[in-house]
Amino acid sequence: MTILPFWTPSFLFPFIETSMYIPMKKIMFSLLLLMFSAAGFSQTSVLPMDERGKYIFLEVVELPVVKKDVMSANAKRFFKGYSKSIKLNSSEGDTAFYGKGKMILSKNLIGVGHPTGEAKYNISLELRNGKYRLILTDFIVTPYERDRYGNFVPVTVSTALEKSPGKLNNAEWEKNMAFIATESRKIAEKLKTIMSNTIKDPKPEAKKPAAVSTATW
Amino acid sequence: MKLKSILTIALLSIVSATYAQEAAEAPLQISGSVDTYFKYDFAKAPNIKTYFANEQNSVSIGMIDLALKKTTGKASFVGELSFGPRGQSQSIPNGPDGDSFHIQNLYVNYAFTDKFSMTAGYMGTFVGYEVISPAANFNYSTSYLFGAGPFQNAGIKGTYAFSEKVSLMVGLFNDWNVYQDLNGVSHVGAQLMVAPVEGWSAYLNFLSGYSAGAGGTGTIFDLTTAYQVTDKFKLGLNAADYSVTNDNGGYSGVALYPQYAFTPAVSLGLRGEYFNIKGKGEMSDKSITSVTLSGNIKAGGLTFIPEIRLDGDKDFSQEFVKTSGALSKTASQFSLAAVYAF
Repeated sequence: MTILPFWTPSFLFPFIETSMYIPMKKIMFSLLLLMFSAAGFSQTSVLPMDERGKYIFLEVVELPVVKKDVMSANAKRFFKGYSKSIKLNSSEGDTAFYGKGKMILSKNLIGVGHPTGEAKYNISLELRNGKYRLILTDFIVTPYERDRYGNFVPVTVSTALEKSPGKLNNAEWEKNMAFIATESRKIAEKLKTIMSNTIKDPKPEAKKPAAVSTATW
Repeated sequence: MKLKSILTIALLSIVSATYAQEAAEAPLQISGSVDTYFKYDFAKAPNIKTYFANEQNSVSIGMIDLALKKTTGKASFVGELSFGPRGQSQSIPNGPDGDSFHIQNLYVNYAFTDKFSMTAGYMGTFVGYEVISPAANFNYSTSYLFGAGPFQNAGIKGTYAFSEKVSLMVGLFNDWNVYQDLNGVSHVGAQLMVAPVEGWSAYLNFLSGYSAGAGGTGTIFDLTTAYQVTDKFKLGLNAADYSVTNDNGGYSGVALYPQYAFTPAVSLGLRGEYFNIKGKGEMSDKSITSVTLSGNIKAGGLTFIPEIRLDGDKDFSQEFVKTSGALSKTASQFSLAAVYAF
């Protein structure tokens, strides 16, 4: 018996066993489900504003099992190892760390797209007994334009995220805001992973997986 | 039913995996633009012969432009294809069979370090202020300097960034605007970029060589600079001098580009240009002046460019005519262009 993929419309192969076919209605339902799941990825979200009227990503995480000195070491590891996109500028003892970050805004769909701009921001990480607070704020957006060589480069004007984009460019602003909110959450997740470490000097992850022995089996 | 459920889950998993891969690898970049325009010359003749907004009293097309870029580790490529009058006969050469290759950019790049990279292939020129892509110009019609200078330079070049504020490019190039150099790689070029303060960049360009069939060695010096004076006001400048040895002419000129943004979506820009055509041998120089006022009204990826232009040609080198057909020292035109960039 020849079995066709379930999405094959039955009218294409009427001579083949049809017991495995799924009616078009179900295929359409599956496609709709996929579209909704894709829409879920692209739904807009807006960061809240703080008392200064600045958009802010703020997260307080309780880590009662992590000792204070370990938490401080974790924070330093985060700033040292996150990527070139976050740089530590100053710190107050071992309890507060302040830096600057940059995220590249982009239009991407299924591995295809291009950068549309960059957002620079201030990052602060403050530690207290058993908890820490992450703040990303003061977002400044610089759009990209394509240069003569086909590369995307920043334009010369940057604007605060709070500045009204006007009716004509509101859709672009909403996309940027959604992207910034999503990226902020990713940074927070990465930080949480590092801060949850309970050993003061953890061994770095092995870059190469252990060799697999083929001699014995 | 069980099989159907498994297949549905598998399909959803493939979609999820695609999103996961996206995060791990730089995506294939696809970008481009389309442009269309209406141009009306007040003498009802196609008087102003600078590039792209050429067709009189017609809703005409520019080009559809598609650029691909992919970066894998330190290596990358750019391939940019264009279709339409602006992207074919008006800006790139045809192949030996007379057909267009449609290629504006086709090059590979390797970044040996954060500071040093090398690029080889067919590239948009490094000389000049204005470019072929309508999405990267403020004015829709182009300057005389743009039309007289190179459009593309095929070759191999190395770029070293001394800092974020200073970089130097040096390269060997083909003749201007050719896919194949018939007299061998014959040009040497360089570009010094300096960015003294935030918002100000300046490019000092040099290109010299002996083109196939030319009467002498052509050398161009070009300064292209722009300064974002305030959030709303930007000032650009392009100055160039081109000479061909053995008294074979050339050109020189300067163009100033003040632009003012009333809002992020609405801005107004002026281009004032003086252009001089150097006379060959005993012939005298001929000069042209041009003033172009353009608006940019942006809505998402779409930009409308209404434009008024007035050119002066006291030496009659451009052969402007009046409505009656008599020669004129001036020409004026209105155009409205729509450019969508994605």
